[in-house]
Amino acid sequence: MSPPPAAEPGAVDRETAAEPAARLVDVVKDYRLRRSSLFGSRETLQAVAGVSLTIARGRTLGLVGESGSGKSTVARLMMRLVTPTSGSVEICGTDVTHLHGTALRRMRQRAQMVFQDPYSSLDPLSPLKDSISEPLRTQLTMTRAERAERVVELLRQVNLRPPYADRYPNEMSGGQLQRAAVARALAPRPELLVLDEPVSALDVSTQAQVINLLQDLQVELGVAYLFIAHDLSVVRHISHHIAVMYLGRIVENGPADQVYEHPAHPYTAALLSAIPVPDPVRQRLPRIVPVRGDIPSPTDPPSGCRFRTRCPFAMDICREVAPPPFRTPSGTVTHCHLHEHGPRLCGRSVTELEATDVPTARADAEAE
Amino acid sequence: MAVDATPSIADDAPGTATSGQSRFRRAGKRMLRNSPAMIALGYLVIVGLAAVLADAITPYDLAVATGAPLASPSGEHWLGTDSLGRDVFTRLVYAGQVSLRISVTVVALAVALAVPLGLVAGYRGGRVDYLMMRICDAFASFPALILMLAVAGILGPEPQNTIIALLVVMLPGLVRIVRGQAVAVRAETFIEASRSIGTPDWVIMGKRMLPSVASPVIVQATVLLGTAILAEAGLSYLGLGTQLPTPSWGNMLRESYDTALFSDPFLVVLPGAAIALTVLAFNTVGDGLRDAFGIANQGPKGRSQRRGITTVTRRKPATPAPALATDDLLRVEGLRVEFDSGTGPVTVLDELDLTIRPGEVLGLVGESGCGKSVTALAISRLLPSPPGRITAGRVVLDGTDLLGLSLTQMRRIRGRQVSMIFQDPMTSLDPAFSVAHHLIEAQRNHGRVDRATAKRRAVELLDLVGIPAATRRMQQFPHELSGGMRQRVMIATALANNPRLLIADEPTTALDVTVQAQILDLLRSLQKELQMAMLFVTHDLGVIADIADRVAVMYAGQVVEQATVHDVFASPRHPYTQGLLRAMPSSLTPPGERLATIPGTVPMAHAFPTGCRFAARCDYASDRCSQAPVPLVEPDGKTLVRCVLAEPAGPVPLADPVPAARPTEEAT
Repeated sequence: MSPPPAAEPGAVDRETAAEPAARLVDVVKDYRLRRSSLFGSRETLQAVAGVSLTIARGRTLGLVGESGSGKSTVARLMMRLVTPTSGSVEICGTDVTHLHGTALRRMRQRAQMVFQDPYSSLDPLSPLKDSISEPLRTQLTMTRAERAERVVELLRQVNLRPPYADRYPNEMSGGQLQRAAVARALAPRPELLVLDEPVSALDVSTQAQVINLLQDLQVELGVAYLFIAHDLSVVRHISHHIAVMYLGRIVENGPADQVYEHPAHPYTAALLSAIPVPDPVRQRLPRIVPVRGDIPSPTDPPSGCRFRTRCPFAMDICREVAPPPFRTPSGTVTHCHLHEHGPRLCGRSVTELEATDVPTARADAEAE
Repeated sequence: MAVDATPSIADDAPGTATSGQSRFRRAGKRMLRNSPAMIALGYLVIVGLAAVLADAITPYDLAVATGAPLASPSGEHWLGTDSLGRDVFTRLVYAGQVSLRISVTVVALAVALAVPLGLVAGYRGGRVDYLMMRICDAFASFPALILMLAVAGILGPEPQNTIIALLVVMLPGLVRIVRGQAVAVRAETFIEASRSIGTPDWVIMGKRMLPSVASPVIVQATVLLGTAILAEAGLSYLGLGTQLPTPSWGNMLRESYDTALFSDPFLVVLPGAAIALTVLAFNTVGDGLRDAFGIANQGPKGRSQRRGITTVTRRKPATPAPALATDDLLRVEGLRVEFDSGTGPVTVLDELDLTIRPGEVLGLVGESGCGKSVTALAISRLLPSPPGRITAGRVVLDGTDLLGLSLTQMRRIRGRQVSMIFQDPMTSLDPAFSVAHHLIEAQRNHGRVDRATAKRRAVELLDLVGIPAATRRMQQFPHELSGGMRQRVMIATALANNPRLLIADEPTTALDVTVQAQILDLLRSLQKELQMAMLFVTHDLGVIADIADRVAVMYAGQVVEQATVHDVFASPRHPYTQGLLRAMPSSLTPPGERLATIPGTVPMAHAFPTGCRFAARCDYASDRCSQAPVPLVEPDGKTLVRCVLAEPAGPVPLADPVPAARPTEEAT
């Protein structure tokens, strides 16, 4: 059973008692695939297998995962671009799970999205002012002059000069264009911004500009972020809380520095040790948590704990029972048997373990 | 937040040179340059005007005999008279009016119906799309001619029935085309973005999808006009279309054929020529529009590109490579690469020097556009020519200058002494062949090996790269493997013949982080075990720290710093390297604090400044920097730096003159 929503990390913002900017409760999203053969049964892909998370107003939740983790689906569930199979989605206290039509469109004023590739997320055949003012035309009644004024204001907020309003996307650099995409997202003054890998397609020096901008905007406008990325060091820099996803489930969710420095789940530790650091001495030390094999297919996830086929600390119980949530003293919630069985970490970091500490039952050879 | 006030050196950022022009204007310009299309267009304009002004320009009544039958062309009757003594010119012009009116009506109706239907089908998908497409399929399964004749025959010969018959035959095809284009646009992210903004569906279809659909529809409509003329002519010829005495080109053709084939064949030629020329003109204009809009761009490929080797055009005759003074495995000296662009040749790599010693890993690092991939491809001469060309320099591998070799000689080197692995594992393996085939072919290409031996070695190679259950894997195909597995197979293929140098072009960029870590561990251990040299190209400084022995940092087509990996990270000497390291979120910058950024953007290849190419973005820049090209110097015997501040005297200060918070946001 998942803990009551109020206990979710990130939920309680002690300064204001306002309802959170976004909340997902036990959200599941299944996709039915084509039949494998004429008489075979349809496979179900469980992209999101019961995810609960909360984003407080004006705070950033970083969501990290690799391919097949379901993080992009979570983004789209939060934006209600897809409908959950079960569970509920709340934006600013309003249950939007089953909204359609005009009501759904009105909700969109409060949550906006920024996508990974600015060259394909902005209409290449329209000048920027058209794209940036699109939310204004849809959501608000403004005269053309008012819209033009707001577009200039938005451009200034993202450090682009007003003449850029007349440019086309193919005339701008990646960093400039991503900033224009942020401007578009801010146009209806949303409470929540969902950013799906917003800097992954940019060069390092441009990433820094966009990250700085996002931080400044959060302070200035009080907007909450769901920041999705695969790069933990970027996520750590900008997030107040971090949630780590693997194969459709959240495996760890806690304050950013706790998750980064004292990971309570082997997968988080594996991710951290896999990130190449720009330090040749540290980088060449043997990896702290080596990970075996490849990510299993989401259509056929392992039983019990989904990470067990690659986990260096896997035990017998991991095959049988999906790990329940465990709350560490520092406020992190993790799903791993190591805390209550075997070495009984009870909230300490996984990095304290050696592989020999664990009576390992060999996990099944990775299915491929 | 302050507004950016500093102009950047490349203010008109990457992209086409045209700014803000709608693509219709661009297409129009391209059309103007296309002579056959313009001539055809001129012809159509004349015919169209003649049809519209028929009353004004025709001297006679079209139904009344005004001269002797079958008279030859004369001053009174410019094209003579027909078998009933009517003026042929008058009838021809009115026939054009009829034919054009029908075909324009048909195509206009077809477009007006097909566009909304196709857009809805493409946007909605699912059952709506399925239903519409099956209906189109049903109509398309009838032979078009028969369907048209049947409809016209059943309905009768009035002009509106001709229109209906033609519409029935042409509409399904046009709907398919619109729907196909709509489906393609629907998958684009900006449509999803519009949905996430809350834009109503019909606005998305009209404003975001319609413009993308417009170009193919315009092209197709033009061609359809020609088809409609032909179809109408056919129907009229058979007596199912326009009925005499109203002339149309088709029934004029029939009439002349019946009455005057041997007595006055000129009368048969005239309407036939009118039909043929008009249809030809529509097709030519349609082709011209297709080219102008850039649909289905198939440029002519140069011979060199098909040959699979980069053209080398060096102005000085290449001096024979001197006996190697050092024991370098690979020496790149003064390499210059040019690319053909719309505005002339552009020098992308300039006087590039690199060395790799046997068994050493050289990391080539830089951001997008710096030329690192071009370098890697140029070394193995895999740059496509056109548009690429090597115009100067030498690439000396073990005493042989690779730039002087023929394709056959180069092929002997590729895969044997020099192997390459690429970024995208999805496309680097041939999907039609099994893993075993890739590995066996790699060996047999370079020597006579019998299949059994090659097969055994293939299994060994798969074990070497850490693929479990190797024998089973041999039979699998690339699509059955994950990204990490495919990359391992590619590495195995590259190692099949024990190359001395492995060139890796961003081999881990497309992989998940945990898989990337495994592949890097694998490459590192293989490199040590096989004592193989590696040129490792990447944009990720962390990966460089993992695997490189020495590092070359590239910026704007030049190497700006070259040092051992420890030196580059511990004491970077070039301001660009320093800036890169500081811009990465890492333990250097506490979370929540602003990251140090590098102001400005990379200069574009056609606008490289003469002096230091980084000067416009550099905190230490002075006038000295922009005066003359800056050479690579070796201030302390081990590091190479391209910076005026790197006097042999003392090290460049590791920075601090950069203020921690910049007063104006640099941005560009």
